[in-house]
Amino acid sequence: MPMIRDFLMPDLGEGLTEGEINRWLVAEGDVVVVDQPIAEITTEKAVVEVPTPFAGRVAILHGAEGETITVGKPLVSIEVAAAPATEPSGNVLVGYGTSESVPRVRRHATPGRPATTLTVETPPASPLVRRLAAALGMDLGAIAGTGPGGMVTQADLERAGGTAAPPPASAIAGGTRIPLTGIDRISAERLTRSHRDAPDAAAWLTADATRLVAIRPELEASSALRVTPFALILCLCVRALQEFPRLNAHFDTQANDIIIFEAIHLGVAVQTDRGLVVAVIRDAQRRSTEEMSRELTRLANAARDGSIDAADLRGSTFTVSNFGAFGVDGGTAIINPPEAAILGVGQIATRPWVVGGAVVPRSLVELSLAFDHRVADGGIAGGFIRKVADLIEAPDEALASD
Amino acid sequence: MSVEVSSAASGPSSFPGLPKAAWQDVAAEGALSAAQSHDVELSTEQLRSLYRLMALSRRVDRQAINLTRQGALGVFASSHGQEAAQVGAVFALEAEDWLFPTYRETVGTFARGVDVVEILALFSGSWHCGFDPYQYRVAPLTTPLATQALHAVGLAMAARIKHDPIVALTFFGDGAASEGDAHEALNMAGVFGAPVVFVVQNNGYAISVPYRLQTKTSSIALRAAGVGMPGIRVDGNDVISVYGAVKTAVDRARRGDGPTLIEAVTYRLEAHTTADDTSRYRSDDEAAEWRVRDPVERFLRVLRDGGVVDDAFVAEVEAEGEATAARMRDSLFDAPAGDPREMFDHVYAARTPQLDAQRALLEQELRAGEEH
Repeated sequence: MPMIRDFLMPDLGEGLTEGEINRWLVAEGDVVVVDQPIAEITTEKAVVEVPTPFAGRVAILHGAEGETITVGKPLVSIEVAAAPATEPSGNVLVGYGTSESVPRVRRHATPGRPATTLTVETPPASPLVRRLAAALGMDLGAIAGTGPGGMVTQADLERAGGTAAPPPASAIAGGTRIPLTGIDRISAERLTRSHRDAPDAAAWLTADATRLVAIRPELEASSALRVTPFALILCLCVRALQEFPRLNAHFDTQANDIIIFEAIHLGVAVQTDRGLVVAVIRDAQRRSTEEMSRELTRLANAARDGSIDAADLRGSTFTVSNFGAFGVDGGTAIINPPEAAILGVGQIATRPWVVGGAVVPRSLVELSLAFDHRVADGGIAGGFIRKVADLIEAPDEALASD
Repeated sequence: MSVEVSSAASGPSSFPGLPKAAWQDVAAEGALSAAQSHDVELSTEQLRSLYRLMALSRRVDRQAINLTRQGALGVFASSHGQEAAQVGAVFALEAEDWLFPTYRETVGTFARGVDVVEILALFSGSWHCGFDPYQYRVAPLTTPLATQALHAVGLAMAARIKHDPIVALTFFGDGAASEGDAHEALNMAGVFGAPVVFVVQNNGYAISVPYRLQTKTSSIALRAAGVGMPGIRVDGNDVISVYGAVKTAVDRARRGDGPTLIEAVTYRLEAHTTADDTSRYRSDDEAAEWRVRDPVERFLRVLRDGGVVDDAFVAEVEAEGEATAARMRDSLFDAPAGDPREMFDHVYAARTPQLDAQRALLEQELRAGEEH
């Protein structure tokens, strides 16, 4: 008699909690042989082809491509030809024997071990019905399925009281759905958390960067290094943070504590092919202009070619976003949680500016600061951004003393 | 007693008759000789055995990767591409000799005759060591790097004291060769003339660190000079050469002439473990170059050309491989998970309060899991 066996999502990388279905290599109804690759799974570590441990007919693919499945949850259900032997296998693992007297302990830490029970815990249902049931909070096991092989259909669900389909996420039918994956999904979660948790306020002003732009060639000549205005602004930002240490902080939402840091680990938002990442310049307060430039270049290159170390993406205390790189004047950045503030830097452009009562062309840059109002008041935030602007306007001393 | 060293700051010759300094320079690295040919005695039967073990190893390795991707093993470190280095080396041992493997030497351990299901207990997480080390004279596969090299030296020194004419062979990798334990083991073996054969499988990478970042020397075999023992560098993908080199070293150790360091140059065609992504640190082109030097196919060509094996034999080995893979699947996929609490029972004769506390914590976890 045919029987359904669930192949549970394995832990594919020593301690992972989930995997994303990159591509199905089989379809429902296909006949598969044991060890045949059935799906390509993307984990945080690699893309892996997963082979089926069972031979038979594919009954259910438990998710669409792009969907994430928790380790230990069914990935695919396979209708196998015959019930496996129920007697002990006769295989001896040292220390255990094979008898049923071995206490069967489901280990919390390794939910990936496939179920050995002969009954199917939940009746078969299509992925759509499973999703509907989950959305409606209904237990599929409690519903009598009328479909083939006891399969629970959408009609069964409705008869059992699941009155309505869940509200559609979008009122407009059609369109192209793009599931967020990888870095984009992690970014989305962080941005949402920031918006939900941090009551943010913003301050902005325009600074005259003419002198900053002018001294750049001098610095480049003395260090034989390409120094970007952005790298110089990072150095000046560190100076200002030392004067306003309250902004070099995290907010612990759980404890309602502000944690102020002595070391300045400067996060720099970098746009890459794989999404937005924040690379971290560690101990920025100890770096010279040259060291800062070099580290910024190293991190940006590593982030873009994907070779960046995970350690370089963690632990920032304050973040700077260079949206000027996209050719825009300004904007409001979203605080990188759990940090206290983020500085946005616009493009440096030549514009009319009043100097000494006369309108003259100057190189101007717009700065914006989004800050967590629980950590800082307007006085601190305004003082900080004013300080950054002052340093940009007269940068010689700050940059020379490095 | 202290040695006076004149300070460079004292300026030019402090007195007219100051003797000149003299010393000898050692070249940055000792030179390797050009490759020499050696006759190797292997009967037709032995050649077939070698091929059979290598081909079965390849199949067993593949199945272990599959079982990992099915959740039956927690992790697995593949030997794909290193079959000649492992099987060739182990083949040079006698039954009474000892083998000290690392987590990479599943196929070397398999070639020694240990049941593959017992070997993989380590990777399924059901037991530290699934086989009886004394039965096979194979120490447990170790995960801490190079620790087993010291164990091998200790066992070999003890054997010498007992006038027991056995040899200990230990494997380690190019990465582990940088560990303090590896240096200590080599030096101890050199000082005491211990009957040990050190086989370094230089597979190009220590997880993701390439050989060029591991050491500034061109060959790990050169370290033999620094510890006063013979060093050999051998093509690790040529099973005849590996066997010949290791046999020479084993014979030397058994005669009482001391240890040998052998570097088998090979390549890890798969990732470091199943939890690793090679595309982050090496190019496909590099792996493709090494696929051309596949040790199993290369040996099969030699044997076919020599008329040592025919299609029927190859098919027979293939069928045996499939049967072994099926047994691995049957034994490991639905294997009983066992009682994790048992791991506390064999650490000390009497349990310590710390162990009791850990056991209690685990029990609490397990109960939470059941309720979950």
